[in-house]
Amino acid sequence: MLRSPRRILLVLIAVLLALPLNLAAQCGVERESVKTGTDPDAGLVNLNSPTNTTIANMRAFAMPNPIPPNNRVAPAETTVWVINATLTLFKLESDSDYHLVIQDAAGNTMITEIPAPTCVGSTSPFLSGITNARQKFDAMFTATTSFQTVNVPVQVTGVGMFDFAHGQTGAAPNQIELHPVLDIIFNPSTTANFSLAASPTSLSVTQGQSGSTTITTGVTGGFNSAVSLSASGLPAGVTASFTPSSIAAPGGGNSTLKFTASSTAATGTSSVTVTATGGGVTHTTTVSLTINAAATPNFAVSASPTSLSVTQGASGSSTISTTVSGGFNSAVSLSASGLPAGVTASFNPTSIAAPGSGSSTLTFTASSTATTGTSTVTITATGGGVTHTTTVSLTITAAATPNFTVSASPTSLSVTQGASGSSTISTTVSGGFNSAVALSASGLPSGVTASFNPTSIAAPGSGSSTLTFTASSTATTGTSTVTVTATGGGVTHTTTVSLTITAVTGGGTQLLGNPGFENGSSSPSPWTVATTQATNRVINNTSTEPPHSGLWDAWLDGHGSTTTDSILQQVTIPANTAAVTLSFWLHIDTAETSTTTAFDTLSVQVRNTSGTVLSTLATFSNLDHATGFQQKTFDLTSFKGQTIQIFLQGSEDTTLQTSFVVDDFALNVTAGTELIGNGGFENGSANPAPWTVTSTHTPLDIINNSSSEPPHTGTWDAWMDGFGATTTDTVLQQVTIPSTATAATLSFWLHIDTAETSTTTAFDTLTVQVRDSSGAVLSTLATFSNLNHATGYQQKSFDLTSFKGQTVQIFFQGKEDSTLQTSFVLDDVSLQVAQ
Amino acid sequence: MKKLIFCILLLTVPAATALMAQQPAQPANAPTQGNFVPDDDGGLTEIVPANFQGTSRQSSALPVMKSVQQVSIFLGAAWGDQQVRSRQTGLLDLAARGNQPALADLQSRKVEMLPAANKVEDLSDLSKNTINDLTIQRKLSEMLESKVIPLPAASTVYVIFLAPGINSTLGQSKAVADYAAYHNLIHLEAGEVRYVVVPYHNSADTHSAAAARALVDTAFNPTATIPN
Repeated sequence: MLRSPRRILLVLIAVLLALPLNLAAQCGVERESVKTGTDPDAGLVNLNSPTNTTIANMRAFAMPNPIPPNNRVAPAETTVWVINATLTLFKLESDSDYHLVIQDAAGNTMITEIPAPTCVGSTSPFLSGITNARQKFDAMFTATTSFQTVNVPVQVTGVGMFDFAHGQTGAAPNQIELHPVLDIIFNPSTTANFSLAASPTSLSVTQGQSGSTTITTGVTGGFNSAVSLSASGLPAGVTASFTPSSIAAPGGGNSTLKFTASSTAATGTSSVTVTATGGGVTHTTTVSLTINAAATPNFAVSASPTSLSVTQGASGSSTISTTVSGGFNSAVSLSASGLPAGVTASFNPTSIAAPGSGSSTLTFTASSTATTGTSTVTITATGGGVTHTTTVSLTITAAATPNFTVSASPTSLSVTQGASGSSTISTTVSGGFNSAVALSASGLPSGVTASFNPTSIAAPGSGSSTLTFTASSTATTGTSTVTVTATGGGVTHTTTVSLTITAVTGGGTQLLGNPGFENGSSSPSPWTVATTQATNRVINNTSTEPPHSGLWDAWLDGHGSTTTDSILQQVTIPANTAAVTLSFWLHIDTAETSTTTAFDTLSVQVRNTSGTVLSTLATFSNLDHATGFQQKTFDLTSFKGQTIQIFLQGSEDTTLQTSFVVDDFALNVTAGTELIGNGGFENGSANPAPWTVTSTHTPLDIINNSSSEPPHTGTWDAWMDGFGATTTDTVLQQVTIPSTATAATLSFWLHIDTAETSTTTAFDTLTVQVRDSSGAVLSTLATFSNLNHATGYQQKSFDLTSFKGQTVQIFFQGKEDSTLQTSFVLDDVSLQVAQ
Repeated sequence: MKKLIFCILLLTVPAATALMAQQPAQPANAPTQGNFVPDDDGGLTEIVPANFQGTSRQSSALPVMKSVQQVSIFLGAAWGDQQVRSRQTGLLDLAARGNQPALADLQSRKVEMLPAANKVEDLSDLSKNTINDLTIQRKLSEMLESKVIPLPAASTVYVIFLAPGINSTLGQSKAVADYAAYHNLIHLEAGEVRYVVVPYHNSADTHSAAAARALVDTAFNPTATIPN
């Protein structure tokens, strides 16, 4: 009970003040910008053209998915709608909105909401309308936070808005609302009136066709009159008709508005105003009418290919295709223009039959004198009053001229004086060339002849001939460019071969057999050829690896897989030679790309008859690859008097080929002048001259033929020492080495046996010296001792070239100590001089 | 003073009488269906009743979330108090605690509980205000715009723990008296934002149990709509 006036005052103040304070503070959040008109699409709403509609029409809008949080969905959310209905519920929401539920006669409901003006931004185009609606509602009702039920006819004007479904009272199934409400009229039916709406409010009609929309009227306030209908704002070529032309009294009903567009109706979008008049009342609504252009009968033409090349005297074709559209139905004739001189064009078929889709083969025929070059040919297709063109780029090329080419392989070769070499001359014809080709060579150096086998290439002129250069022993050395001339069918071409004539290396005797492998692969002897490949193709005459000269070479490796190829030839070098030179020509090509790693190698060795390596002369590899052949030369003088094997072995790894191609070997031995007399002591002990033999032992017993110390060859030798007592034996011979000597080589065979057992002390020695004619020591060539004892003989060689022009003594002196003999047995002494 | 009272009555009573004459004769109460009560913008949403017992949720045919990740937002100045803040530990990752009966429902429906995201604290002094759902929505919108909280993913549920002293309302419903927690959904530029509001409760167990129940309700009814 409120017993105190002061308490009554306080309660009253609280009642009056508390509610407004609460309401003023809260505004909504979700889609609030759309609800109040502060969204970026608010300007899309046409406030000047409200559209009459019904709750049923509003509920028929498709609900957008998703609903944009801050944008509008046209047309529902960009139109001001006017709805006549009954207000049944209302409530003040916490977000300050008035939540009004309206209902039509069929019981369909939807929500309309009047936001609080304080929640509407000042920039909102809806602010004045919202304020107006709020004031009108407040003048009629007092909204509280509880729903209140009423039953009041209202005309609500507002903007459409889709809300998110969350159990709102009175919501339409598609969640469409009028939100915000811009105007509300209570009890509008007190004035006789009618509403007007169109559905759909926009439609499209194609030229020559028609489309319709339904015009609906609804009466209120006892309106009772026929409503006449008319349309204005029609685009040119469009007519409008209403069925029925008017709505009969009392004025509520439907009429179908049909738009009929002529085939030439103006295209584009127009706003057609529908005017309804009756009972002294006129309302309008608008329909957005879009006239679309009708499809025109037409066709397209294309070419494939769009460019082609035709040789003079020949022909070529392109396919011309047509496709129709828009009901085109006519034959299409074809023609070509822009043809170059000497070219004709024909179509097969000459036209495309109706309805006009198909293809035709366009053939260009060029005469042998047709103008060469590229032209743009225009293809014109005409039918049904329509003409289209396409183009073909036509290139006329000159007919080929009969011709041939000539080439040589190899293009350079080297021939030794007295020898021969060859190159293969090849011809290839083109342009219908058909004639024999005669071959000749010019520019040959003196002493060299050239021959072709065959002498000419038979018609039609493609083939090859072996050009052999034969150099006399006196042929001019040096490099010449030999011109090979090929003539046939009125055409002459030339090619050149670089020919190098080389002098015979060192002269003398060439010891190797089959040095250029010209015996062929079937008879490589005296070479022994071995390979780890399944097929032995070392001895080669293919053009893949052409020879240095002749027809054959030895092609080691080149397989690009693990391979070991070898060739060897065993040869005996005479002892009485002044110089021994091994030479051969080598070509290396490779697929290896390394510049640092020798993956594939060619080893050149001298071996003894057992295959033991005596010397590795050189090792080549993929790093040494080069075009053409290079001559390699090695001094084998130290092997004179021996039977040796010239051994070449190519070793290739698993991948990337390296070819080692060798050709034109020579092992030249130069027979010099022997300066030593009685080199084998075969004059016997009674006449050792020109040797001078002395000994501290008596009797003198150096020149020997006993079986105790047999000779190297012959019957006699010189046996120094071997007494087991203090002894000095000397053997010397004085010779004059010519000043013109190019080489002077002293050699002898020596056998040493001993009773000494020391392996460290040279108790007994043999000294080999060069002394002048006075006996002064010029050079001690070697000193042997008991430590060098061995079974059999060993050859010793020394270069005395430095003593050319001098008279010297070849001096052997054996010294033996007091006990335990050492025998130094000397035989076959030689001093060969080359000049 | 008597004159003043008389004048006020003279002014207010006739005006009130006139207003009442235009009002409907039968005010309609807010429609409430089970645990669904009116929210603050004309709809309904689902609450955890104040007298909830922590029992399992009744299964429904509504689509469920495939996974749930809790993003905790501690709202209100009182969360800065050390003693109050100590409560946060038990609330940060409701799934990890594993002692909430409601969470068993998630396992039975094979809803994956992802590890909770980092918490966010907003220590604004709101103790003198009444916080309704619109305030919560506006706060979430501001936090998302300023990137204080991560953008919502399909599994995200923002759980807003109100500090002691904050009066929470939902429509005409009041915290503690009517509900222990509620969940709702709002559509913002950032996407669909699912959230749970948990008013402070003196009992830590009730506090976390209500939050867990609302979290489970969200998983089972992410749109917060009445089942058909």
